Amino acid sequence: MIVLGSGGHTAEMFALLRALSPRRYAPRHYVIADTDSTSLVKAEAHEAAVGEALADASDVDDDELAVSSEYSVTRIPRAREVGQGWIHSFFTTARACVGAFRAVFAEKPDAVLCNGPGTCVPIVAGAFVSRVIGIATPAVVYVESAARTKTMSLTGRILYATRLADEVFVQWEGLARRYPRAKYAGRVC
Amino acid sequence: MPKKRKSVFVTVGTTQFDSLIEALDTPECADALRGNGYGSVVIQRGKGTRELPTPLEVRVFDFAPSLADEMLAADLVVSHAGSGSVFEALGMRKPLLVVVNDALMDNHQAELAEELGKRGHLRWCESGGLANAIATFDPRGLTPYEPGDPSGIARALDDALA
Repeated sequence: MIVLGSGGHTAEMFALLRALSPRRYAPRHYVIADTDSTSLVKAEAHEAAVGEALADASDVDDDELAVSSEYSVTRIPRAREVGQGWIHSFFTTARACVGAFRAVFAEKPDAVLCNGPGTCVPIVAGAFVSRVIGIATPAVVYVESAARTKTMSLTGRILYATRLADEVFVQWEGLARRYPRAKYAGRVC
Repeated sequence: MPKKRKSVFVTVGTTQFDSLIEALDTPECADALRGNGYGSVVIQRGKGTRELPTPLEVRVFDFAPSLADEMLAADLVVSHAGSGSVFEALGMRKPLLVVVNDALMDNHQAELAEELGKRGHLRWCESGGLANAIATFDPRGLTPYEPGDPSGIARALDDALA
């Protein structure tokens, strides 16, 4: 399960996805906030390219092609828009959590991959709950945005401190020194 | 023979950054651009609303699915500090001037511009310093950015999820 955000987050995520084997990481379930229109276009373009490359590969038979090119997109409500009041925020956050939990429970992913947008917190919480109640055991991987050179984002700090993320990657050496459990393995862009 | 007029592409990504557009729309900025041989400006203004009556040749649009063609065609990219636009321009080896939005509350974006600026890959300023930055910007002084390599994280992921 791949959580997409907007702008730079989505660009970084696809840079990473292009380096991952679609034959190993399949099927792919994308989660996109319902106000985000550009990420959907990017996901469809990425999957079209993956499908073409797989179809051209000589060592991929029809069965594997079908399995490796399978993907789906789930849209969930956004937790909070900029400038929204607190009471309104409470209800929209609750609605976002319901949408996120439903998506995780339905797909029962083996791994959740996210890199920073606010949408990933309810998804990761859903992954945790699905482990507790025993319906799935998703590994949670968080890749901090390359935009963060000195401090982790709020999302990153939450997932790091609570240990809700099994793996935390950062993209600057100096940042890895500040967070001992975070790993540095180069930059994606 | 007169030199070919160069072009500038200005992008604010998915944000609203009217103070950058306002800073462009000053006589000082127009002078700095013309003084450095720039004749046309293409502006992607995002959620901004400002009109732009500069004396240069100007084209404005709000959003586009991809900004790659506009960036490729430009001699100089003036960008907000978002990582998407910054890395896209650096990947194309375009001279890049980043304008940090000082009105953003959690202004972590300055981190990226500072770090890449320190390494000599770009120059950055705030809206108020735009005219001066354009006037004194010399792309020949920049160090090309070697693009990152996602295979490091990909391998680590393969191992972690084995």
